[in-house]
Amino acid sequence: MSESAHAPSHVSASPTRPPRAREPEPGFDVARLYEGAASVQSGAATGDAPAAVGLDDKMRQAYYWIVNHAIITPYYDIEFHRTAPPKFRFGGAGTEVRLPTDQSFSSFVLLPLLTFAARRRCLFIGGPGRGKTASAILMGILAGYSLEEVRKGIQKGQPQMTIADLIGNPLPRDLVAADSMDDIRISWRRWLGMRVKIVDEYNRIPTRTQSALLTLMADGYAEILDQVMVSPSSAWFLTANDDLGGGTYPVIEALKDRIDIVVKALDFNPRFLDELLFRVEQRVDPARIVPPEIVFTEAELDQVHREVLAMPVPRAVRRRIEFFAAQFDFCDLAAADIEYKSKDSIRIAGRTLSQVCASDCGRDKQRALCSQTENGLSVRALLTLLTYVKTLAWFRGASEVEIADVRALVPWILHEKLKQNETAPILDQPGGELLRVDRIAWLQRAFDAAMAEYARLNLDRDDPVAELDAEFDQGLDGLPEAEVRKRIARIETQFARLAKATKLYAHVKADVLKLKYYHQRYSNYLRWLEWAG
Amino acid sequence: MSRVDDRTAAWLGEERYALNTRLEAVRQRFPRVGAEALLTAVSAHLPPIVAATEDALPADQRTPLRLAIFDLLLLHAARDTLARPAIARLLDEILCRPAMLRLCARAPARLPAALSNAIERLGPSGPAWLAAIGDAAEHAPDPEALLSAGAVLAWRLGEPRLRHGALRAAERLPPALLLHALAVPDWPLPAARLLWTALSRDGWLRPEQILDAPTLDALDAMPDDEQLRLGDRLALRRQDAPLEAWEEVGRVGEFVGFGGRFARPPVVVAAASPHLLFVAVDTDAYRLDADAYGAVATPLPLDEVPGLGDDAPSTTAAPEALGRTVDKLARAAAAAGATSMIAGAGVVAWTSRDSHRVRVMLPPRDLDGATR
Repeated sequence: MSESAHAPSHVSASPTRPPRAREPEPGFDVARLYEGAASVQSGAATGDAPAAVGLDDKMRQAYYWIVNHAIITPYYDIEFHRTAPPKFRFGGAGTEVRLPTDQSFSSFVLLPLLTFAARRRCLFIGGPGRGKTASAILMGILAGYSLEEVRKGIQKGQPQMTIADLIGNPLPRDLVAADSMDDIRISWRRWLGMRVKIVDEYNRIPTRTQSALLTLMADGYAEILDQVMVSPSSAWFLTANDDLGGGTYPVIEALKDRIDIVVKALDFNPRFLDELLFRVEQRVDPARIVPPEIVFTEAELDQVHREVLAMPVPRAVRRRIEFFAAQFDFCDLAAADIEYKSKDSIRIAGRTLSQVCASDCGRDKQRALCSQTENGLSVRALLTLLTYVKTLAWFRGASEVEIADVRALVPWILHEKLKQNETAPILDQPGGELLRVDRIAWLQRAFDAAMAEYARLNLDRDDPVAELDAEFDQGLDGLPEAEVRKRIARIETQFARLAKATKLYAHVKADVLKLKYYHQRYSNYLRWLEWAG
Repeated sequence: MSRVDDRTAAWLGEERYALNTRLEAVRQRFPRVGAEALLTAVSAHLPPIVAATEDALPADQRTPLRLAIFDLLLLHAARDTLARPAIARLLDEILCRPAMLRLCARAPARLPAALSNAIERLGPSGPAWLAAIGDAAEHAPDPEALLSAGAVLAWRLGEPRLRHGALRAAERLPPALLLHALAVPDWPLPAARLLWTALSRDGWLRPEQILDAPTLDALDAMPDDEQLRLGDRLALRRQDAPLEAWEEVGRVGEFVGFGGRFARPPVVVAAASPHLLFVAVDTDAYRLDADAYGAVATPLPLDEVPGLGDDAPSTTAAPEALGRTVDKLARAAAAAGATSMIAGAGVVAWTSRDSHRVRVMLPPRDLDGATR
């Protein structure tokens, strides 16, 4: 490696990807009416210069600085491809190695950065000395805090940690002199106001203190003696040495559930020992040498958040997410009524999916994804997925979310949220044992299988609900009675067609319930029209 | 890619380098899109453009416009939006009309893209807007005028947030184009100025409420100063009228709210003008732009609603608390089952618990002695 590449002040030249015109979500006025996807001001026809690079490029510069100078993680496990990648299969367990054909990333750095941009909650897991806390500290510094501020702000989990240690305590003098609770001033801990919050070894925090942490993480406020401090919207980084809760205290389920993404610290590749040697010899402390070019101001972070939220999810991608998400909660044997054919019904009845799924339901259980999990996807999991895919698309400089963004993130977001059915027939197939251990691979295969099925069913072109969606999205206002009756008839025809053409697969259940929803909305509106004369 | 006609093939050959560069740029921006899909779109949509430009434009104006439309075509093919009826109609029909082509040739890098963007921005009203602007091109002297007319059209087709901007743009429009944009193309030209004056003052009026048939018949013979006086009077309302005489000018929202999915009927919490109200559902607040042509609710933080702090006006309250200020109206509203009411900024607005509508009331119009 050359000396200049070692220079820690070196920041990757911008742009780090070919720039593209981003569409900010504007207010709506005449000036905005004619702006949009097509370039009005310049256009390729006029040969104008490419658009200026933005905050996404700054975030990519931060990424490259971290992987080049701070965290030695020479992995590209989040792969993207523009064309079919060259593949090589190795003997032994038959490992396949692909060479990415588009800019690819290391999960250990990328996922925390996405968390930082999206203001979500990330848990680092892995053995000691793998860079978990160091990564979290870097995120604090990227947010504009000094190393000292970040270090003071870190909450170090330990068995004696009290709620007062975590969020603050009443001023002792006020406790004595106050006539009422309102007179007692609280000395809130300073870290509550930070935009990056770090909790080290959170599985060593006592259960009662975990509950206070939960309130802070989930609801964004802390409370002592009827007094409340609202914490600003922030990114959370938690670390745990052992995998998910095997520390001094068990982690309460609700707290686990609030963690959006789990990042595994990867092992050190000894072929990069020269990097390590360089750091030892030069006494490099990456946290002290973060270049100012990659530090974000508060206003920039707000802008990043706005840009992330404005990233469009096109219908084709949204439909694929819907199709994938529909697979897991469904169980045809869970209830008689379609609304209750959910794994929740099984759980509430005190049974498990493996018990229920042992009966025949007329499906090929090698292929049906519903047989592979004990539970379905919660709304929170879907919200998390949508936020992260928007952030990844933004980070990659795309103009909208692509299905590759979803594929890259699904395993990382769901592998602690979907519980594998250990008796699923697919796990008894050759290679199935690996899927019991490697949940990333399991979820990636499940996603690929769902996408293949989506394509096979030709749902982009033959979507039984698409036309009704488009009509309904235009609103009911002013819709004449004759048109309402026509639409109701069309919904009933669609029901008949579906019932005749297909079994009640998971995605069909979602379609049927939506059709039923539309039927009810139109029927209610029709009754209102009749009543209103 | 299916074969294109000889004329198109010849042009593709002439501009091969420029076109390939554009194709590659789009493929870099949308790496998932295959070249075949782009070329198929080109072969399907480009020939009519090549033919129409050849028929309508001098030779030196054809290529810049064709390249601009080619860019647009690639963009929609890459985004898979070519199948949208309005986009397809823009490319296959509207942009091929001679009047539109002549305007586009004067602003090739601006006008086709602007029209495409507006269609997408306007969503459900995009197709109607496209049809109207296609016809408006016949009356537009230049691209600027066409875009200004487009703003008026967008407003008239249900985008009240454009009201002020559209009226500013309308001020500079030729009368025939303005009348066309306001959907009264057959009215006499002097009506354009009168309509502009009245609509600027009162967004709850439509052209047909402003001028009746006898007045329209008399306009051509009316002297200029009389027309000016008439314009001033047409939108007057009797601000001193007793509240019971105020008239309902609009019911905003109708059955399903404002395109929103509210859990329950909203309450009106503030009014900045007769065309700008603020409503809330639970702790969610919305800015409600509304006029005779439509209503749009835009979410906004609760603390950005004017007057929702310590200085909240006393009229922002449930009807039973309104006694101090507009007692009579409050009693009437309460009797009618109102859940909220706001009186101020020249407007009274109220809601009821059985509907998502916001009722808007204004003072009666002052038409005494005015020819209408």
